[in-house]
Amino acid sequence: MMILMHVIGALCVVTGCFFMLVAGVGIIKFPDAYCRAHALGKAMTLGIIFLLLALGFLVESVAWWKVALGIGFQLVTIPVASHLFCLAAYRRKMRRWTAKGWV
Amino acid sequence: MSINTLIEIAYYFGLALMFSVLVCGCWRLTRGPTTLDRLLGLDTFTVSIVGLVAVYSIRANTAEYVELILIVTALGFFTTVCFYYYLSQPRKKGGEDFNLEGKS
Repeated sequence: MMILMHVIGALCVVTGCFFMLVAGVGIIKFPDAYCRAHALGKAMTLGIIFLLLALGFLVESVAWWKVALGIGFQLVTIPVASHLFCLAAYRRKMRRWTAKGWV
Repeated sequence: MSINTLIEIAYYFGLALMFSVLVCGCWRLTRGPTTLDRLLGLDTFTVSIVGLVAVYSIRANTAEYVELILIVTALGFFTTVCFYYYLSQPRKKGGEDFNLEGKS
């Protein structure tokens, strides 16, 4: 049982770091602020949730309700922040990128 | 392969990828054409610092840094909200332009 939890935790670390790297590449490569906020709000939330799950699996002395509180906090704050970026860009009528060119 | 070796490999892999995400955030923070892009880079920076704390806490096998995760998350979120409030004020005539049109 211990070995199973450790293997699951190590896999969660690798998966979470992979998704965070995907979000970082999206933040570098995407063309405008709306797309970058999308990369921040989705991929990075998934990655940080996997990392906190790995923390709960691998460290025995951590309380599960603290891990759950951290996951809930991330789930509330990161998407709200990325939506605030999009809202500020939309209010200022920033140019946005579409498949046909800049609008 | 013992289980400690597996966790060690996962730790170094996670450390390398977290620092890569940190570099991505710094790149967007310095190169972003608009002010919003710079703020986005700052938020990426904060979230990757939270990930670094989680990975290090797994390696050190302690539960003392979970509160630090909560505090850093709250700080990043309130920073974002304050900057949004600042940017959403109506711009004064002749005031500072935040370069929101993406010039240069």
